[in-house]
Amino acid sequence: MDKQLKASTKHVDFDTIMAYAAVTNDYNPIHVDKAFAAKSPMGGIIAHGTMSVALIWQALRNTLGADALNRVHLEIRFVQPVRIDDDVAGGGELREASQPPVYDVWVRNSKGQDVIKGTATLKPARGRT
Amino acid sequence: MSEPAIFNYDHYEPGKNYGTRDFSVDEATIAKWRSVYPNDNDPGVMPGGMLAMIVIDAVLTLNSPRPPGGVHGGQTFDILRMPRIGETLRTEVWCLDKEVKKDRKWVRVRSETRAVGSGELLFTGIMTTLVAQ
Repeated sequence: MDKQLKASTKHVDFDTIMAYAAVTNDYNPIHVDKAFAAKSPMGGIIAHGTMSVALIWQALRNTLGADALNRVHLEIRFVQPVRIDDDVAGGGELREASQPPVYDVWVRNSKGQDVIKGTATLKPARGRT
Repeated sequence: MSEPAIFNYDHYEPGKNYGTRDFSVDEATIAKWRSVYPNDNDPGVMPGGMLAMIVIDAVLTLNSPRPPGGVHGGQTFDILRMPRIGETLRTEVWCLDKEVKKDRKWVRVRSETRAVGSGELLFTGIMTTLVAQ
């Protein structure tokens, strides 16, 4: 079992946020309306949190293979917003001696701050104990 | 004609079922996703990042219109089988619970997503949202 997930990265600019809004049909103004977001408690545009979650899925898939995703239990918390022009990376580390295997997963910005934290547990394959 | 009432914190009732929403994992949707994530190119298998999109699509549709400005607090996914490209999925949504903490209004919704036709359960999840009103 790999101890480290292969990190997956993304540059988040306003065009990417708008493209993600179009794909997901999520036009919450906190993500797409600069004037609205500036007046909100967030103080400006924040990227969709789920845009960054995709990087954790990519890290899991790129390290463990596509089949492993069929056994994942993922739990995450959004701990800090992602801002326009942030570079974010998603990855994780295997928790020592965990059984079933548990990865501590994260997405971090270019300052090294966690924006998402959580765990990905690899459940036993169905039919196995 | 009057505007529909905003689906705010007060509208959520713990335990209440809000119905289902269908989502087609078709080639056009996959192509749009890959325009944002070009590396998500496994043949036949839906990219994992789209799981959240399916849940949000259901919640945005079934609990709407939503007050603007809500943010995501957390999410869980329990996968039994990843959806395949070409499948149609049906997501059922419930309000799990809600809570006001430090003047912030938190709602947790539970979802179950099945393959249309076979009814096979593919994944479940819980989404925690800080609602704006």
